[in-house]
Amino acid sequence: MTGQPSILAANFPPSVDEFFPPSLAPWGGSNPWFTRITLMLWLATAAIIIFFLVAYRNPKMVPSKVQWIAESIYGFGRNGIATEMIGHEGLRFASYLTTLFVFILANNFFAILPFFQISPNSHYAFPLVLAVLSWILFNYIGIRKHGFFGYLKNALVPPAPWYILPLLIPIEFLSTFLIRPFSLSVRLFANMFAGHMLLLVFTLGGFAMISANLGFIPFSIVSWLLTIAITFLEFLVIILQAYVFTVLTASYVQGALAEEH
Amino acid sequence: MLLAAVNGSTAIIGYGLAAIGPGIGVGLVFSAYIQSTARQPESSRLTLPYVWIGFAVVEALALFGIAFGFIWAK
Amino acid sequence: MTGHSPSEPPRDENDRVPSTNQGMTALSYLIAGIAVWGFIGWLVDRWLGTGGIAAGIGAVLGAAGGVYLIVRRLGA
Repeated sequence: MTGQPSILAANFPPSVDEFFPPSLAPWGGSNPWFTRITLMLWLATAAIIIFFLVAYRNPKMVPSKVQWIAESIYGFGRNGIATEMIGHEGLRFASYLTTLFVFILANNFFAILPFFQISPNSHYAFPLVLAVLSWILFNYIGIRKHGFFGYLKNALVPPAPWYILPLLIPIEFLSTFLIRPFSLSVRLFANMFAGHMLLLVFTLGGFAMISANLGFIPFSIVSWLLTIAITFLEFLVIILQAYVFTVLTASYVQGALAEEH
Repeated sequence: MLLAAVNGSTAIIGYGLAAIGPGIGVGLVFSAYIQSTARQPESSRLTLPYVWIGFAVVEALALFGIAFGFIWAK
Repeated sequence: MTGHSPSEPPRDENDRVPSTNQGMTALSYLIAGIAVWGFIGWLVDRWLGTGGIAAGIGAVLGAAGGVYLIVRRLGA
């Protein structure tokens, strides 16, 4: 064996093309819409729906195991996120926030699942839509509570003397209405993108080193051990990013509901 | 005669030098907060607003470094 | 976890030290300030034809505005 390259079909170093897998179906042409990513999205949605439906098929006062797990997840979303951040009115949002948390977690989890190993959230479109949904939510809640001009006054006018206000209002506008959804989406996207890229670099680097020179096999083994370590780190990052997204959405809703300072 | 020359982007060298100060500064702010909380945990809530004020003033200089690197680059 | 009721009164966000919410707010005010007023300064630059100084003044003003907002909203 002369250490031939292309043990894998992928090149090293990994490029952005890794994030655009080929179409799984004969249709789509040059812009395939049904790829592994779409399949993973559908699988995640189906898994969540089926799990919660099955868990609540025969609810009992003394819960069975599956029911207990489902109730724990919802309890975490309701007590740990909704009422903790928003207060008593948070109960209205508990189901949306829990669904958001479980959805992001299930999609992120594909990043370390064997055979899939890429998360749909590493395409910017998916976190962007979720962030836009959160943006619409907290703006709508604010407008419904305070009225349109009341909400704008509440959100845009800081407590400051009147002559400094023209300096401050564009800053507040950019910060509240533009940077919030942007930072929500980019935080989730960048974490998933970077995690996938790291795993790719360490895995493919191991193979590339072997195909360059057989004497590099110890380095390749270290590289693959590091891949395993980074997979565990990625697991932490997955849960943390889902939690941070949901907590920040809840905190923005709380800010929109807050009374005048 | 030319002894040495630097080609390429001097904005990036400027930014690298500009990032030293705020890096140390932010570290000092948070280290003070951590130490004061370790000495007297109930003061953590009282001193937290000053953490954000200090962080903002120091980080503003770091953000100037990034911004002026782009605005004033040749 | 399922047996818990919210046992303590809901506290405001300033209490929760590990939360990153205040840090993100502070950073976003700073970046927004520099971006908005730097951009307006750059437009003034193009209008008046000055070298780059108006953008710099705008950025400094914006940073000052951002710091003022942070002091007002997150400060004691």
